[in-house]
Amino acid sequence: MDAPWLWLIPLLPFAGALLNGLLHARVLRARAAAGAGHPAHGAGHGGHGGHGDAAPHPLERWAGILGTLLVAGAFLVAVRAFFSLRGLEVHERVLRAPLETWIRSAELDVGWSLVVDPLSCTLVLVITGVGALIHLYSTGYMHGDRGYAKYFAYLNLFVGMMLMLVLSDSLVGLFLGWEGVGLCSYLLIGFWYEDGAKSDAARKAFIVNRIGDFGFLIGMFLLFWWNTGAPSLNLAQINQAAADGQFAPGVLTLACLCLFLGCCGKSAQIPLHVWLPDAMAGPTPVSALIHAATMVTSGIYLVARLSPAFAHAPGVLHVIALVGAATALFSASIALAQRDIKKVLAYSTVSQLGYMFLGLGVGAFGAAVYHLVTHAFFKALLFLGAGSVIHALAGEQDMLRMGGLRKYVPVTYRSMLLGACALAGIPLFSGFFSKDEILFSAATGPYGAGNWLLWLLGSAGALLTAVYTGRLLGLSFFGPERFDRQRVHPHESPRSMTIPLVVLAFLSLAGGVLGNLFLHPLEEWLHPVVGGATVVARGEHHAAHALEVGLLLFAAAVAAGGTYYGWRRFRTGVEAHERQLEQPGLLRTLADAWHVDALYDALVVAPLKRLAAGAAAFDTHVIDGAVNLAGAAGRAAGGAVRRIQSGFAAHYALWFSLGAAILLLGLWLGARA
Amino acid sequence: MPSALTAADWMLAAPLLWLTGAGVLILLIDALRPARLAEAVVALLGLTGAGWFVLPLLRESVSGFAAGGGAVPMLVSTPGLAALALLCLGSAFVAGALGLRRLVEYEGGRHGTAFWTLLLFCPAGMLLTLWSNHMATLFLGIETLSLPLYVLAALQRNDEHSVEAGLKYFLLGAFASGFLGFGMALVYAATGRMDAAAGQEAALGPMAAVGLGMLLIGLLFKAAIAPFHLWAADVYQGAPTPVTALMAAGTKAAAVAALFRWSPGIELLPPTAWAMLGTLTLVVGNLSALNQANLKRMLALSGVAHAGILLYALAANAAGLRTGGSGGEYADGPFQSLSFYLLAYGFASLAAFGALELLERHSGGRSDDDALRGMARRHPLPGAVLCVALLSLAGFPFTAGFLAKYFVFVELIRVGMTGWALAGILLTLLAFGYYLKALVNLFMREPGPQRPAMVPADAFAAAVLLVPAILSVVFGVWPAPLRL
Repeated sequence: MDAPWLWLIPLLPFAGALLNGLLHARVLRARAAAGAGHPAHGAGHGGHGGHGDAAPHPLERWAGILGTLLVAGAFLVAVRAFFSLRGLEVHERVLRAPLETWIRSAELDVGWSLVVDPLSCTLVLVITGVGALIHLYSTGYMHGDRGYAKYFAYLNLFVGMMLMLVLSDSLVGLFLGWEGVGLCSYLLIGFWYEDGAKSDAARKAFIVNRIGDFGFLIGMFLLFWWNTGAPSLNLAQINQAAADGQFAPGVLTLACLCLFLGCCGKSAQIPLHVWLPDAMAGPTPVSALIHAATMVTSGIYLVARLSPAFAHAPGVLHVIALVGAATALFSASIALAQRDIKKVLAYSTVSQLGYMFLGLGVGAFGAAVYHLVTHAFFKALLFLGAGSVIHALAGEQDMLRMGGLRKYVPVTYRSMLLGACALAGIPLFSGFFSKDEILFSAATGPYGAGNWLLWLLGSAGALLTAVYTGRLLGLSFFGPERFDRQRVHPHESPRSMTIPLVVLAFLSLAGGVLGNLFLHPLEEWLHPVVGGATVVARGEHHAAHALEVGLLLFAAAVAAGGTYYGWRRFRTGVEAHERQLEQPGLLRTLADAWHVDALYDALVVAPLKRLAAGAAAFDTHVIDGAVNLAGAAGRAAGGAVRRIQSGFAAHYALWFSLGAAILLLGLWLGARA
Repeated sequence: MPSALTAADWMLAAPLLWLTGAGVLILLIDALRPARLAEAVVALLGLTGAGWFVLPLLRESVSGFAAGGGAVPMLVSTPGLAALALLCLGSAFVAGALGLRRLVEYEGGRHGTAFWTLLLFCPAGMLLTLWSNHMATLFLGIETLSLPLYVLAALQRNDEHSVEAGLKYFLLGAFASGFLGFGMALVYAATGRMDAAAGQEAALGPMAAVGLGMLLIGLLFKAAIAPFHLWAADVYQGAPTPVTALMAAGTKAAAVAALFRWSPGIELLPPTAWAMLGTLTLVVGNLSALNQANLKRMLALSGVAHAGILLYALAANAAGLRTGGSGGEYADGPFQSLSFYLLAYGFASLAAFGALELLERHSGGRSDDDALRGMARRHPLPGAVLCVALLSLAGFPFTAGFLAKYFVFVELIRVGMTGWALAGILLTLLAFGYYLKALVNLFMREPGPQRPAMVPADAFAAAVLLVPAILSVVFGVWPAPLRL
């Protein structure tokens, strides 16, 4: 069905980005006009260091309102799209907003249109819905920051790009959004760029993502070039071509592997996970929106979107499952020993993304997307809650310097408790159902004995998840107060920040119970998009009901037990824990993230730096030398030519006559011959 | 000659009559009741009206004034030539808008009438030249466009550079006209023909060959092709900047388009000869521009380099004729690339010289790098126009100048002259050296001390200048409407 109004969905946030950008320019001019009274950004503001270091310009208030309302407007349009889809027959659930051809060159014909089907509709609802809440939260969190309007311009731009990513009907458009969100991520991680560490983190994120993007591009080229049928970059046509066997088997595997490399970069999977923990340098709402709820799940979206193609490359699915399960366990272990509350959540995000890839890898595409949605709710909630805690403690992020906060920030505490339960997988919370479904699918997957290895990795990760979640709660909200009470007076955050917390807390709870007990809808809803691929990847078989119940009970026990242990262990005795973290040992290794960064430094960064130094020397001495030589030669020749230009009309006439003589002689001889 | 004019004749005559009629009207106003404003209005209306009458010619080719009641029309217009005619009229309009303050009010407004009248006669000559298909109309056209330019160049008679420019242009122009006229005589003597196709005949004797060569030299001079280009730097620099804008955009278009029509057959002048001449011009123009410390002179010399690239389009045309097939007098591709290039170059030149004129009003009339240092920052509107113009001239992507070069080189490669195309592309890279240098000087240096403004810049001139600047960008991303 044609629905040109779909363009409103990305255009509203883009308009917001433009208007807020103009607003920011205006504010800058006003500030410049007000004189140099305001010092530049003071060095070294803490986690939310922009706070309160400049009197806000009267116009700036509108930046937040505008940004939030436009994203909320996009959400309303998305809701309308949802109901339009619901009104259609199950297998006709596709809305299109076509536009001009974008690129046409020989066989390459790239359209420029938006497609809403159940999969992209789900993603769009999450992006705009959670996005609007986080925008609202940001109006409180970023209040008084010198770059307030700029922040909303970036955040709106991000939402628009993310929407292009999920709405585009071709790999090219998807890639455009993919790069766009990468850019916004870079801009927002380095939002407080005067702090060298933060801008380094931004660059790290960008560079690591480039590696993945390189894979993405190669995959895209392979899919186009080695298509023996009618080559196309249209997503639906690629899926169709894969189903029709238009790719040689090796090519499809290679292409999917390359695309998965791209997913590894964007979705922070081993070995490209290193950028995400550092990305926490950005403002906390950014971590919630970009680095937890939406952008980092693009990899999952890509695989789910191309699931029919991936299903025909079983080897790649196997790799995805293994990488996902390994990442899930590996990052959960690191999260156990982090002191920084945001770092815990960052590694937790990497770990949860690992679960999603595990789900994709075992062919349970619907389950993976389900987990994507619930994770978006509860992880955004946890990040926003963490932001609220940090706000309350005036920038403190170290959980060992918190403690006993539950009576100071009751709303934050209660909503975070719900979010933590969902993350740990406590029964009836959303995370429990989605994670359990992934683990169950792993146990009954297509890999024979390998299934149990995947399940074991996942379950071990789930146990660790429960423990670090309990630890987070215990350290920050329970036990003795370890912050400096002379200096810090914890207070609950303003309404604009707590409302999103409450809404997300409700969703974290409802996403599970309501979703599963009443409707069990998402799987069915997504069936037209990923159902076929699931059958191809997993085959038509049904596991014993008893097994399902058994695994369910086991998972529930693991979650409850782990969380309880974590909470008990870390409620008190924090000093001993701190010593453990500082002395060499297992915990110290975990705290240092298994020294992966150090390893990369030694293996990749240092050699690259040497290579770069060599290349720079070559450039200054050889290339620049050659260029300078050419320039000098050009100038010298120009000097010679200039001498002809004497300024005397008679000399000009002489050259004229000389040229004429040669030309005429040539013509004369030519005509005689 | 038939007594009655046909509809086609009228279509071609209308713009010419309108221009000359407006010119005569201005003379009458001055004689009967001098009114400066009325003269300006009549002149600008005359140019606009002429443009109005050219519009229908954009749709179809028209041949008119068949000489001797027979086969050979004296004027032939095609859609591409009509677009160039509009460019000529537009450049006269821009020159008028820019000269409104500086030239009309020079010496108490004594020369206003002369300025406006000549500004109308000059484009009439350009139109004749563009459309000429007969020696009579060609000679008439060249002389009608040149004589007003000699005077306009020297209009600021208290400025020795202006006078020098006018005199030099006149002396050398007369020299070239001698070649043009004598060449025509020789061709007529040898072949008995006076139409543009005379040179296309198969076996031409030495006399006809030399005659055609001399005719061509006359045109090469007007188009400022090396080694007949030496006048260009001094004249462009010395002439008042509004006049320079007219010369750069209008004269170049008329002369090169005439060169295309009057180029002799390929037995006489093979594609390689054109390519060699083009490369020579490109090398000489670029190398001379490279060291210039004066923006106006640099623009003049870079214009020589651009003429070199235009010769590549002629080479492609000649090669297309040789391979036969789709050749013909107006084989689409090469002529399309040529006219697009002329239009792109015309827009950019008008914008560049126009913006320069506005800046000169604040630099004490100087155009050297030192005087213009940082000026674009102090005067953002002319600065932005100049920036777009220089980027388009350099051939920066997303400007018409880039596509213009692209189209010409594509034609060249299409006919198999890849080596020449490669040489041309590498040589055009040199141009970035001086265009970017000028931009750096205009934008990235600290401005010097503020000089008193000579004549205030008026909003009308600035607004008119925005048009070619915007067109330079628009046709850089959407070239289709100009591929006539």
